[in-house]
Amino acid sequence: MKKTEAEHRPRRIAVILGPGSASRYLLDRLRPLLAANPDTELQGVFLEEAGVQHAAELPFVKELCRVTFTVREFTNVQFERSLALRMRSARQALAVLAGHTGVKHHFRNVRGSAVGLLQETIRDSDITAFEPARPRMVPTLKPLANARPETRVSVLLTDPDSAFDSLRVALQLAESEPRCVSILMSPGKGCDAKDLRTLLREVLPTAPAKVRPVATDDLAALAAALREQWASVFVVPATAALTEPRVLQFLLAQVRCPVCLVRSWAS
Amino acid sequence: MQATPGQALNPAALCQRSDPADIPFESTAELEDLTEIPGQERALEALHFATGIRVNGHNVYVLGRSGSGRHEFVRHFLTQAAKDREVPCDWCYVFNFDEPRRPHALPLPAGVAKEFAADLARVIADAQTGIPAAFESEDFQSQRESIAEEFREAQESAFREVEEEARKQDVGVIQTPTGVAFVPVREGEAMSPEEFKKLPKEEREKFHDDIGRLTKRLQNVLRTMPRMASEMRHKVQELEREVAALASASLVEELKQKYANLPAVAEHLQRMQQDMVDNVALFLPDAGSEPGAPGPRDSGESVALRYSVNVLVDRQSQQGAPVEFLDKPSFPELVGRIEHESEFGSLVTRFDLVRPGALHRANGGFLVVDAERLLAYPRAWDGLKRALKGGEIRTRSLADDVGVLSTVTLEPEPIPLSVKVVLIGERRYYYLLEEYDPEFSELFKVQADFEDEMVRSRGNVELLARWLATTIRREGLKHLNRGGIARLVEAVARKAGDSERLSADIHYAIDLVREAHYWARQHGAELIGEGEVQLAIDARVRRGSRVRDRMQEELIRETLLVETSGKRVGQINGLAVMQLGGMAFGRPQRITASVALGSGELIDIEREVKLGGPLHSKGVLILGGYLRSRYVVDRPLSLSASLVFEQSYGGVDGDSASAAELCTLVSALAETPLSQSMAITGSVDQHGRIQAIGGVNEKIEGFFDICRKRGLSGEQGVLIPLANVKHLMLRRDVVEAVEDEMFNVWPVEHVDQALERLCGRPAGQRDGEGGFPKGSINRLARDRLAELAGHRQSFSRGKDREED
Repeated sequence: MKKTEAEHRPRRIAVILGPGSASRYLLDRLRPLLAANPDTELQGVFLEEAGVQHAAELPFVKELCRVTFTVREFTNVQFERSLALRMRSARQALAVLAGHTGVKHHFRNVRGSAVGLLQETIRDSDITAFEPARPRMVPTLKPLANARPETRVSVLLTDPDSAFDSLRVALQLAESEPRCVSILMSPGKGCDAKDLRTLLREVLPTAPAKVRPVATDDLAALAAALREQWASVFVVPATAALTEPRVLQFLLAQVRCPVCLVRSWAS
Repeated sequence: MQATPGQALNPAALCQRSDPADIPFESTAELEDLTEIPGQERALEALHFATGIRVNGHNVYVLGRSGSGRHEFVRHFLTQAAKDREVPCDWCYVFNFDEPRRPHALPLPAGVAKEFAADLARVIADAQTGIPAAFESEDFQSQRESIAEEFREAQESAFREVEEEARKQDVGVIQTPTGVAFVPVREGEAMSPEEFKKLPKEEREKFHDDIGRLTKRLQNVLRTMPRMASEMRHKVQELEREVAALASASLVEELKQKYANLPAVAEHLQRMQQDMVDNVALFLPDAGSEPGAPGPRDSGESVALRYSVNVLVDRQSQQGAPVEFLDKPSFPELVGRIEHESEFGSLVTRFDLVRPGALHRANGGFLVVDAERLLAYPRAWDGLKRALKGGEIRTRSLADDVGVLSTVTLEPEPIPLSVKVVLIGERRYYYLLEEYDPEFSELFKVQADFEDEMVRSRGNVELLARWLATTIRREGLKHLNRGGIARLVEAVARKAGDSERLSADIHYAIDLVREAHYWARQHGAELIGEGEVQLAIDARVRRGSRVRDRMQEELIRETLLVETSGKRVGQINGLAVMQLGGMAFGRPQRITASVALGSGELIDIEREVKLGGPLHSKGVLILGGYLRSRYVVDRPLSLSASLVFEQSYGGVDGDSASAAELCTLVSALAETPLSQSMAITGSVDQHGRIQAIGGVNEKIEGFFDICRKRGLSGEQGVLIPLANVKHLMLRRDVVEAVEDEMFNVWPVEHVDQALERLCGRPAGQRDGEGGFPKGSINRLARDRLAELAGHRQSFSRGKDREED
């Protein structure tokens, strides 16, 4: 059954902000999505990862500084202080973004495991965005002098039900520019690639940048495919299969760009 | 014209008329054009020499009086001289890629600079599209990303190795707020401190050691990252340079081929191409700037300026060498200037804000400057000299030259200078510069001296007429007929103050023609005739004669006392000339003398009250010498005499009244009255010879005007030096009065002739014994002096006796 336009509007977008991630970069990427959905509610979730807390409490654990490469004490006091600073800047960044886009926003902090928190957030939100915590030790390549950074949205399509909303979100993130959207096609059981292609033509006004088949059960291949697309945002349908801890762990650890998990409205 | 000293002059001697019948054409309309000013052969030769000699330092100073037509003459001459010369090259300034503070001066063949500028502007506009397009291409992006990817892979791979090793030892890697840390893990989760504490001691120690080792290893791995990142960035830069070089080469190569025969241009293009590659970021769109937002110019504009051409001198439409006339020879107008723009409250400048001066425009040709104006502008003369001495134009601001500039400025590369400078000025500036500026004679070795007058020959009259005809045609005036020309020639001779000369003040002549044209138009005359020229002269005199008329009124009303009849002892009519603007007129001046016993003092009252100039004082002192040598060779001069210009309240200078002063002094000595119906002018030497003076025409006319107003008696007249007869160009009414025997002009060459005429008795010639005939003026004067000497002697004896 075809859904109305209003039914496709996300009501809640959750964004996971953590001590290890770059909040501002992630929030910048979400700006077009929020602008396209001004009635939505933005929820910022600051994750205090339990593992890091535990490490801070172990006397012999040392922190290797990302900037100076020096090894230094990693104490609980120090951790709490830097965590508080991070939380405050994340809250401010969230408020600024909400102010600019005109959406309502809330902020809360949660202590626990990243995967567990993700699963919980996905259940409560239409879209859950997070940036994987990756070992960004040295900046790789500065943007080309004076050139406007280009948004490249990769979207994984597995079935027509979830694909519709994922595609819409991808298109909104790409500021309605299909040439900035690349498709990773992985039809699940009982789904024909043809249906997905038909859906593509329905949702996207013009052809996307690329359409590439990919197997979702081979996470390494999926990571390689994402790298090839130089994706700046990865949109993934929040299906049962793709929200398994193993996949979430993969998304958290192996993907280099922000991830948007889109729950199918029907679900 | 023969003139006998002491005898009244014939009317013909009073004004050398031009006979219209002698004019060999009906009107000036028949005459061919003459562009050269007549009578200036010397100046012409000097200019020919100066322009012909291609040597530095042979610049020209054109000396002459204002009105002599020097500017027109020089303009015409130089325009002709420059016509057949080669057109010099264009000059422009371009960005100096090695030293931006010193813009690079680029010579280009005549007329090419603008084309070159347009070519460069087109290439840069193309590059502004082409280079960003190349950088946005999929190929470039993928190559760039692939380099970055290679690095990321290496970075992650190294990290993963450590991570993998850690996992084997049940150690996990976690991201902390500011770095990474290793923690013991159990079942994929970081161990809590409580769990850790429960572990056996050996296990805890093992974790401790493993984590320490892993931290060290990761630290080593991470330390290699900056080097790897640097290599990666270097590779990316190389790629960017390659793409930029490729994109720019295709654009610039075309120009390099076009200008291959101009090495300086080719070199600039080569450097520009390199700079485009080095600064490729300038060509990429500025992502951050908002259109129209206040701020420094955008990158597109910056690029356009950086690679633009500042065409300083364009000779596209030039024929021959340039001739530049500089009306306002200030320092920046001469050597150019560096303008500044205000940018956020600061003054900034660029090479495209360098502006040319007259030297740039005149380079390879001629520069004509008014000397007086040049000297009036601060540092302009220094700037010109520096350029000529150095043989190059160094453009800098005046403030910078003075050393008071504190803002950022440029030092544009000097431009080689090859110019012939023609200074036009009055003689006094030439001689002052010669005297006080040693560099002047080094730089201005040629003087083109304009004559003030020319001989009144038939040939010169014809040349003058042709020159007037040329001007008449150019200005659309009416032509002059024979009578008009004849009268004009007389006026020009009168302007020269010489019946045998013509004034070289061509402005005076053409102004008279213009004014006569007005009258001819009023009368509806086809040609300007004698009447119209006379009207123009009369109107001009009338316009300027208010002061003269008021002065003459006061003489007639006897507020100012000058007698024109009767006789007086020790009083005479001298004549002075007053010059007010363009009007000169004569003024009769009563001079009196008184004598008494004394010891040889001649008191010049004018000098005593500091109203007499040095020349006047000299004239008076000469009188003492004359009296001694003439009358009292064998005894002391025993008089005390004083001389004064009565009712004179202004300064007096010149010695033209010394003859009058001598006559009145002798009159006072000899107690012989002088005729008051006469006036005398002339200077005198120690032997009594009367010497020429200036302004003779105005002086005679001044006395005549007073006599006529009081009524001409026929006895009235003026005594003038014989040497001045040739200068007589008197007004027609004066000549007519002389013709009617109602007025006289007597030439004299010795004071005796003047005394005889003024006293009406013989002056007396010295006999063999040194005496004078009885009853003669000189005898009376000598006897009086002898008497005074006797009185003085007896006075001295009486005094001696009293002292004894």
